[in-house]
Formats: sequence, C-alpha cells, structure tokens
Amino acid sequence: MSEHDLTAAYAVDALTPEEALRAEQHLAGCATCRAELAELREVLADAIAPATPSPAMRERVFAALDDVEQLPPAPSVDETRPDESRPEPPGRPKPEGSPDELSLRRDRRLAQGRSQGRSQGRSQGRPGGRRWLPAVAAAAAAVLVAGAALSGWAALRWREEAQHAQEVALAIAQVASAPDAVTVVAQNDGAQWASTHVMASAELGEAVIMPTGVSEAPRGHDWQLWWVTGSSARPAGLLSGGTPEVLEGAPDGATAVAVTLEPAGGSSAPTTTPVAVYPLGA
Amino acid sequence: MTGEGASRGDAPGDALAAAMARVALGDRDAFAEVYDAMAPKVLGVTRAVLRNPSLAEEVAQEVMVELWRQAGRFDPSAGSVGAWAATIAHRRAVDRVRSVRAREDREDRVAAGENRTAYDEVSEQVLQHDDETRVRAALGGLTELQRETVLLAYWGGRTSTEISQRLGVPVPTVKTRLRDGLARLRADMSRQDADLPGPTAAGAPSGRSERSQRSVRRTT
Repeated sequence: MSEHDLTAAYAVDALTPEEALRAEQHLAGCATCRAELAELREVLADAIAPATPSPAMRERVFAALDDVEQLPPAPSVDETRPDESRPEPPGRPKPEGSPDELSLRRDRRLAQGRSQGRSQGRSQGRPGGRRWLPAVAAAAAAVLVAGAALSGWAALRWREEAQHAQEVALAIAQVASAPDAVTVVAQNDGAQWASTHVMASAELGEAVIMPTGVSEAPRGHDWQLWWVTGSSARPAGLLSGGTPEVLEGAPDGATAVAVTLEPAGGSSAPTTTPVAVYPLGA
Repeated sequence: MTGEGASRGDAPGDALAAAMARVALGDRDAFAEVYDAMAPKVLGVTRAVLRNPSLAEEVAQEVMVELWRQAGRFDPSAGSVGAWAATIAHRRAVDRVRSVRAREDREDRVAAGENRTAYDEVSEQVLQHDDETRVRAALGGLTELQRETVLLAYWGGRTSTEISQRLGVPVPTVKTRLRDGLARLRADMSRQDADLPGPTAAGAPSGRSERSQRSVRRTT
C-alpha cells in the first residue's frame, strides 16, 4: 500500500497519528493527493445530513466570541508570495501541509495520547482550568504581534512559530476543558519555578506546562521536561524560555512531571537534580 | 448546483467565502451569516459521530467558535467553507468520541457481540434515520464491505486499526476498502450533482467504473 492510498483514510480521520503524519508529509509534496483530499472533503461534507441546532447553542457560541483571540488574517504582503504556506489550488506545488492539517495534528496527538487503563478514581471535580486561556491567548498573540513587522523569510519563520503557539494554545484549551483537568504547583518551589504550573488531564493523557518568570536556560543548555514514574524518567520535550509547552508523549502512569537543566538539545535521562517537580497523583 | 471538483463555484458558496473573509476581521454580522449556513452542517457531523445529542451540540458549539477563531486561515482556493467546517467538526467529534470510548472501554471490557452492535447502530442511524436520500443512494452504490468500512470510519469515528479488529480483516484491506468506497461515493455523488443518468461523472469513461466496481465486489 503506497502513501497515495492513505489519502482516503486520512480524509475520514481513520489513521493513527503516526500514519496521519506520514500522510501529511506525502500530501505536502503530492498535488494529486491534495486535489483528491479536497474533493473527498467536499463529498463527505455533502454526505452529512444537517441537523437543527438549538437557539441556545447560537447564544452560547456568540457569547463565547468575546473570549476568543482570533487568528489574524495572513498579512497581505504574503498573499502573493510563491512560498506562501497557505494551501494553494490543486495542481500547484506547495512546500507545507495546509494549515488545517498542521493545526489539527495536535488534535490527533491528543487523541492518541490518551492513556490506557489509567485510574479514573483520582479525577478531580474541578471544572477545567479555563482561567489559563487568556494567558495562553496572550502568549500566542505576543508571537503574532512580534511577527507582524516581519517580511520574507522572517515572516515564514514567524508563521511557523505562530503555528506552534497556535497548536499549543489549542492543546491547552483541550486539556483545560477536560473534566478531570488538574493544575499542580511545584513541590520544591525553587525561586523562579514557584509561579510555574503544570496542568494535566489523565483522561486525555496530556499535560501542559505554563512557565511564569522562568529565565532562558544558560547558554549551551536547555530546560528539559520529564515524565517521572517511580525512580525512572522519560523525556517529555524541551521548554523554550517562558512559552507554554505541551509535554511530549503520554503520561502512561507517570506520577510526576519534572524539569531539569540539560545540555542543549536535551538528554535521554536526567543528568542534574530537578529544579521543579510536579506531582500528578491526587 | 453543479459539483465541479474541489471548489464548487456556486454563488452561495462564493458569498459564504466572502463572509469568511469578513469574519477573519472580526465582523460579527458576517459570522452570523456563516453561523446560520454552517451550524446545521457542523451539528450534523458531530451528531453523526457522537450520537449523544447534548454532547454533539457541545462539540458543535466548540467547532463554531473555532471557525470564528481560525477564519483568517480559511483559504477559498483550497475548498468550500462547508468542507472546511465539516473537516474541523469531524476531527473534533472523532477526538471526543475516542476519548469517551477509551473511558468506556476501560470501565467495561468489550463484549463479544459488540462488533455487530456498533455497526448496526451506525448503519441504522445513517441509512434509516438519515433523511438525505442522496446519501442513502450514494452509500447504496457501495459494496456491503465498503459501506460497512466507510460507515465505521466516517460516521463511527473508528480508526482503520479498530475497524480491522472489529471486522477481522487486515489493516491494508480496511484502507483499500476506504479508498475504493470513497472513490465510489465521490463518483456517485458527483453524478447526482450533475444529474446524469449514467455512471459518467468525475471523468470516468462510461462502463469502466461499473466494471471496476464489480471487480471490487468480488475481491474484497
């Protein structure tokens, strides 16, 4: 089965996150499959019978708009750029997957990250951590504002960063709205980690870290995140300065999230004492 | 309405795409237009996948807010507003249904007879309670195996791995059935759009698609 054959399964969201990634990589370079995907999406959209939403839903949606930071339209200078990363008409090559694919990768990872067989017993009754959303939106907006003055390759770079911020914001929103979302503070609140929180949902199998007042790691080093289970630790990605980040991988029974200072690029196992530990158990 | 590939150039679609451009600038009147046109479709998608009406509406609500948020990213050259909205809605709904299912599976191990039940439920909902006759007609053109697979995937929110386990066939077979089934669905629906009597839609020479359809029926 060739990569071309993944398009249909991709169109109906039937791929595992790994396969979806492969499909997206293929789609980015295959105009035929992009055109096919576009057509299948039209067909599938057509194939669904509409339902009548309640008037209450309309009210709730419009009420929610005030709290939502809209993504800015693509800068007009970019509209005609050949290396624009926005999707292009079928038949024309483009360098990137279309934005919706990129942004939705996060959804897939979330879907996949759900841990199997985790105890539900310690679910907290706290209604999701929605208070984080303004902070996250602000962080994403800061990236966007910073990029607004750029052009050319810098604009493309900015777009990538904005995209990432966007993905993180979406993931955070999902964790925050999980019924079992918990927010934990550092056990050993070393000075600059005291205000940094981790929000986790066992149900989603996801955790996000919200750094506040955290400085950049010293030159040649990175802050690295870890899933801690008993005395072992699995890498959970790097933290870049003060930006919120989604932890990589699934908790898989992890009892804590830890942060250590590691040589640039991270280590496969912690080489220093954690600067902050966030217990995940209730 | 004429369905001509990815971007259906009908006037309502153009008006909607224009409205999206204004939504991207924070225009609520334009969003009201998009809402009225898209909310029923979005709810249709989430209800198809999630079935629980209140959960479906909750997810549809999130999706509509997403449309507002991501309006700046909508690209009319990449497809219609409807396809864009349905794609986002389907991903969201699938994400949610898999979450709910993971919890249910943990609490209550899969019963032996569930395969049949899951498919019957989906099938019944789509084919009997779905008032879109054209959908029924289009799905009716699929082989039983293709229909089952497409229904479990798009309407049931199952991964190809899950479908493989449920139907007891290898994953590549599931993907092949999806590919062939969706190709068939596309051909049938564009034929309906074009309102032609024969299987000549989507550029397929008359007779050829019928033949390949029969061979699919034999081999899968």
